[in-house]
Amino acid sequence: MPSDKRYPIPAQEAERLKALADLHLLDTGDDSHLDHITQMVAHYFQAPIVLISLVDKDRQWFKSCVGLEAEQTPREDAFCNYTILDDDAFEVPNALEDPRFVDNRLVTGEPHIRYYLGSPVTSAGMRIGTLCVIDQVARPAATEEQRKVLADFAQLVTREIEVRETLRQTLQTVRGALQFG
Amino acid sequence: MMNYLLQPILDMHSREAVHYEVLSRPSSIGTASCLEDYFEHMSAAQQLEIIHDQLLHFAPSGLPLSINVSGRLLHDSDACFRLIEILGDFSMPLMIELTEGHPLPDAAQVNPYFRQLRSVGCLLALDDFGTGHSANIDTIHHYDFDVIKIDRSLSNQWQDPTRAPSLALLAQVINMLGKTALAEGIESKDQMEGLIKLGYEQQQGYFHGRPIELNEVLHAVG
Repeated sequence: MPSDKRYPIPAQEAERLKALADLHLLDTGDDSHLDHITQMVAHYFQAPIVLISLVDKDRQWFKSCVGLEAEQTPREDAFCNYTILDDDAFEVPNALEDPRFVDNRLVTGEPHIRYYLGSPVTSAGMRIGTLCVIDQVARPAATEEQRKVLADFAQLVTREIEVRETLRQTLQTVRGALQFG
Repeated sequence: MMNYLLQPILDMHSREAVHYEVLSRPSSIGTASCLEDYFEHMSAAQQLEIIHDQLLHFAPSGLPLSINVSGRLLHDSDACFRLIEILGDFSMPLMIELTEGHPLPDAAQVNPYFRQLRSVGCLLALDDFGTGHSANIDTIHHYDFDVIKIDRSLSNQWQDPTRAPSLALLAQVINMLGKTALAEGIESKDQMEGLIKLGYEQQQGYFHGRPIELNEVLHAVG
């Protein structure tokens, strides 16, 4: 079905959004474990900006971020729209040379994205968001090793989010057992 | 001015007080109580005045305080910024205790305040967890609290063989989320030891110390 959106919509979008909503993760507070991961990724890639972006219906919301003040952006501006289309890492070496992004507000304005490398983060088999590395200058294409490292970190993020959800469910059980609320 | 009392909150590893909760003793009643009940009927400006008053009173002692703030205050962004300003001015180790007596605003609105409060040296505690005031499990998840205060109605079930495993699980999950589990209403040595075994790293209650006057605390601390 053709879309009037300026970005591609993943095949199982409704299921994907449900998997994201089921996590109860949007708009939650800081998570020091996830913040450690983004900091390690920033260090490894020597990148000024690293994000864990959750791609919601009309926005992307950052669960953790290094180097960015914004907590969310409209979905139409999200590079991550392309990352969640399949399991591979998505890369834009120079946004100024890519017709999909040359007019993007995050390229023409703050934070002046030039380079982007993102790897999907999943839950319940759905690509709910990404772990991505951003630079304000163009970069050569990532090596195989760099892509592998980012994918491994994205896997860590996925596991961390799963643990959090298990803990949330455990708390619900505890509430039932202690009969409060 | 209201008459304030302090009650210690102990870390069970060091067995030392990590905070002193500020309680009120209005002359008419004579028993220590949580200021939350008074805040219920106050305007934001009056609450802020009381908080300022407490800090002025206790700051010279250098004691780490834990003060109660009504969740209602978080609905008023001007009052929040004023609160952050006041706490920043005193720049002393503090904990802020919040209840859900009134539902908190959305986490998206509250967590940025929490971040700013943390940046001026405050820890955030969720008060009365397990009571009608604060029973929503998702609150622990959505809001960025550092400490979860488990109400006495839960912590006095430590001996109940059907409840103790769940109390242990509750403490474990709180710890795994990187937060501290604080048990309130500790009244005996057995209860203290029982709850340490169940994973409650911080405790508060008559067994650990009754609410007392500032000069008594200073005398005891030496």
